[in-house]
Amino acid sequence: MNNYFYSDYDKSKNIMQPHLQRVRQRYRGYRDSAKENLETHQFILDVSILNERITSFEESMNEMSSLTYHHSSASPYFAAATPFFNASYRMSSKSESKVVIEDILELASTLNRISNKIKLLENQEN
Amino acid sequence: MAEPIYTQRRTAQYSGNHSSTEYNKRVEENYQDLVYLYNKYNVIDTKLDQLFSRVMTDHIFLSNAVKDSMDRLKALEATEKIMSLYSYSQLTYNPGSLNGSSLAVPASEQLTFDSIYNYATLPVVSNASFSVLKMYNSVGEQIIPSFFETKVEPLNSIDAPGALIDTTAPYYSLYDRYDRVWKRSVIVDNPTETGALMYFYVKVPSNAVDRKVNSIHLSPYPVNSVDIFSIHYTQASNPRLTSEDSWKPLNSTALYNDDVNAIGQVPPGGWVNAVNSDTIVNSAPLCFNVASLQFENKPITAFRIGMRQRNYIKENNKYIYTYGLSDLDIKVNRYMNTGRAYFRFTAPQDQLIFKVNNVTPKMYNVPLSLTELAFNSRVLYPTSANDLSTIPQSGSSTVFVEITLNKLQDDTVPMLSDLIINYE
Repeated sequence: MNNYFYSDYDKSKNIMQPHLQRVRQRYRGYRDSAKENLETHQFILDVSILNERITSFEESMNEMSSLTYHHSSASPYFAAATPFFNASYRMSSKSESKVVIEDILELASTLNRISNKIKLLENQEN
Repeated sequence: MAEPIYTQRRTAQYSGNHSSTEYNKRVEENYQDLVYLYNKYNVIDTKLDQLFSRVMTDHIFLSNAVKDSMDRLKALEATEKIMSLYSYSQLTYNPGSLNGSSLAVPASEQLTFDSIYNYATLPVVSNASFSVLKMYNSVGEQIIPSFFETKVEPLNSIDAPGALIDTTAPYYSLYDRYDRVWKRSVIVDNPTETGALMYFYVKVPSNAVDRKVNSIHLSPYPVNSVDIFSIHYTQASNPRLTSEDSWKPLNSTALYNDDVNAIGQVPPGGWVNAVNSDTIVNSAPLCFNVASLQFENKPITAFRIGMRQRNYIKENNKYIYTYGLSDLDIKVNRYMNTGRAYFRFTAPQDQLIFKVNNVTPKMYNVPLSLTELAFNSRVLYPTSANDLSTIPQSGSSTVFVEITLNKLQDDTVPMLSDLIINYE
């Protein structure tokens, strides 16, 4: 594999070392099971961390993507719902600021409303 | 393409590994793989974070640009001394009081509104209303019913049998998920002016037929790029989803025939001898109420939607026409016979509203001759005593228009898509 992580400053900022420690074994005399077990445990720890990260990565990707597509909101809102649906979302875990995002379908709908109104005005002038 | 990993396959024999060199080499390879995976994860995480930040930021400011366009339109309307609905935040159920009595609308009489499909309508009895296509299991997960039946019929030389098609399953249009859309991409060597055309058939599940569906929702995909040239229905008892099923236009009474303002508001394919086409060009999400079609106890058994994509994306010297649906639903909605709400109209900056001369509803599923039966309104002016009065006052920045919608005799449920007031 290419060792490309180190060749780019942006990428090299992300370097992270695994928990696994390379302990050199020498099979002269008895075999040290403690070291081998430690290595196995560290390896499992690393794989578990990676597994959890990839899982949370998938979740955050879903969350971020769903921001602009609230398909469940394609159902009518009933009386108790907040007028003109908006979603508040924290853009990144590092930032606490909240932004308000309009669903793509709502945006399409608003554009349609604008276009209808322009049409009405145009026809009125004619 | 994924690169090969460092760790090599080894086959230890005779009670395991006897070579420390081999053992150490394997640990080293494991370590290198871990380093690679950790860092690959970090790089992707950073890239995604940056990408989404950019997409979200652009999305927010594009939304702002749309809002700005609406504000400018509002200003243009103001020069004509008219105002209309710009956002459903204008809707309220409690504008204040009139002569000491509260004007609040009781929950059972509050109009339902939908900001995606752009209409206000009669109060929906939510616990008696349901979808006949969207199903959920006992833990709330969406499932696709086995009886969901659709068919795609290509209509022209581009989207024709034998054409190169890249498609997802039509049932993807049922999912309430952003990552599931039904898209049908037709890949051709040369573009044509007509674009790609097809009929999409969807059957009303037979177990729902007796319940009389009365509402169809669809969101063409991609947004604002697909033309909907017809929507038909059939009452054939066992539709085969072919042209043999005696299809009738959803706009069977040719409502608002040849009225250009109604294009996009009435189901296309129903106008007769019209100079203008009722095709919805670059369609937004659509919703139509079909209650009045279910006369003579003959329920709707299937729908047919005519779709056209004139826009293509050029990729690797191929022309890709993509169309489909990101949302589809057929519902049995129960409505109250009447409902009320208030819409707030705020005068442009530095102006006052002295009197509202006229209130015009836009309800394209109600014939003009029946508008008075389906719609009533009264204007409420704020008074100096923080009250509301039906008598015009000496000018105010805000007025409320109370509207009442009524179901028609043929079960038509009025769908109010806009409200225009003329003021002085």
